[in-house]
Amino acid sequence: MSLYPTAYRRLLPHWGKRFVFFVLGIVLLYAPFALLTRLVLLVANKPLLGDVHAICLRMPIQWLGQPWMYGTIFSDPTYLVAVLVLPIAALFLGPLFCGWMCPAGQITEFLSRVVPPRFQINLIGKVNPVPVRLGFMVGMMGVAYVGGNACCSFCNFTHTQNIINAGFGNFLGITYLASFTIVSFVLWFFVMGLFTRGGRGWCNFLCPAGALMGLTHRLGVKLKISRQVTIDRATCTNCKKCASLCPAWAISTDKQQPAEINYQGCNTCLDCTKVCPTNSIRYGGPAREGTQ
Amino acid sequence: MRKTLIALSLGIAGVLFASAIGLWSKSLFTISESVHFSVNFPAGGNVPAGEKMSCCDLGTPWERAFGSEWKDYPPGGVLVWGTEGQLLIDIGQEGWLKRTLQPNFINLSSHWIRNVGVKPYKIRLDMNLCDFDLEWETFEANWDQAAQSSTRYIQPGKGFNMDWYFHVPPEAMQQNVVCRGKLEVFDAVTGKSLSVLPITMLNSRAQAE
Repeated sequence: MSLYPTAYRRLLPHWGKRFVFFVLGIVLLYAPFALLTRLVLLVANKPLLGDVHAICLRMPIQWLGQPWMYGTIFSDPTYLVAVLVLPIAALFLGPLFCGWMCPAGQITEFLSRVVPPRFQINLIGKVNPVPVRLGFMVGMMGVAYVGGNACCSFCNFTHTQNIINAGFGNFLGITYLASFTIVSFVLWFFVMGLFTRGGRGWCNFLCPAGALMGLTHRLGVKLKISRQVTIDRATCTNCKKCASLCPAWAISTDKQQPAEINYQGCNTCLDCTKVCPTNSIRYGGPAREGTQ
Repeated sequence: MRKTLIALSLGIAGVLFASAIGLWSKSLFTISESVHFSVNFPAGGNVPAGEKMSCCDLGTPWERAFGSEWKDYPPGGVLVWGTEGQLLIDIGQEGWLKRTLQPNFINLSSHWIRNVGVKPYKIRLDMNLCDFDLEWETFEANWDQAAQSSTRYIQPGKGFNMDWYFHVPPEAMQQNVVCRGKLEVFDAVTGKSLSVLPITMLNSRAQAE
């Protein structure tokens, strides 16, 4: 008996494409390259080095809960990426950034595919992570009012940058340990990453950027202005292969019910469109009659 | 109805988790691990009235409303979490994980070395921590590590950031007072001292034993 689902083979070419975008995400956003970040810094006239912190995807979201910070957010293009650019892109296209361009989510997802599923925690269909993620985002904003910090101390983007830095000979980030960085690293990389089905437990439960993009994607679907993943009810055989491989755990698993997509959780990785044996799932314009 | 209740419970779980880890990390950020602080220069500088800092910047939301009543600035500046004039670090209060795995590799961090004066400065930083070997790290593009100086002028109201990493020797770790040091901010052009921040590193665990 194989250690891995046979569907993995079917997905390999698609994962190859996504891997190219993963590398592109690193080149655009992470030091030592950070090409896009450097460009944004140039436009914003900010005298900072280009690394993942320069376009922070967490602090500006926390600041949404702090009205006195709105002036800061809206006067600086680097802060607008998290609270405007990506959510608006998700409104019209879905959270493609999460599925294709976010190295912090993809690194654990890809590595988790190497760990045989039998050794992984399987939460698919058992818990809906969307409310937890929204709750985390609200809690992150709220705890700041009493001086707490769930934003910087629990940052998986920093961990990813530290890993990449180490690959280029700078080991400071991964060798310095604080209690909260140890806990967040173990949770993100191991518990919710390599040893959770789909490898994106952190994204699904704890990513505030994903929560915000999930909200706007759902709104876009509701308003029928978003490109989205849809399932053709006429041809879908309800085999639920898509659900069992969805890293966002966003497809319903109940075999008695037609498959349904939770758009607030979907990260538009499009793995489901490739694994479907009847090609019933596609990514395109708003749902038509007979599709969801 | 059941679905809604479950979703609500899960949402509350998310809020509670964020709150718990946020408060836990605050308890470490402020005292013992990766202590973040702010330093203002010049020491006799000015602070805009009613300036409100972010939680992420300065702990609880607090307002620097000295305004017209403001008379002087404490030497060393205003520190994170509202303590003024000096920086206290107690490595005896490190969390269990840090204490077990890596108690003597310490990080101090100031993302808010802020010009509260009325003219721009290039600054030089002198971090004196009992001759411990320091590694300097910054997000700033305009930093000359050899001269330990900024290569750009910091405009009034704007800031600079720096992190320091160092290993405390085992024998020093056993002392009640591990180190008395200071961070001094100089005008890099004239060499004049702009602000001094005394830094005291304690080990309350050694005191207790």
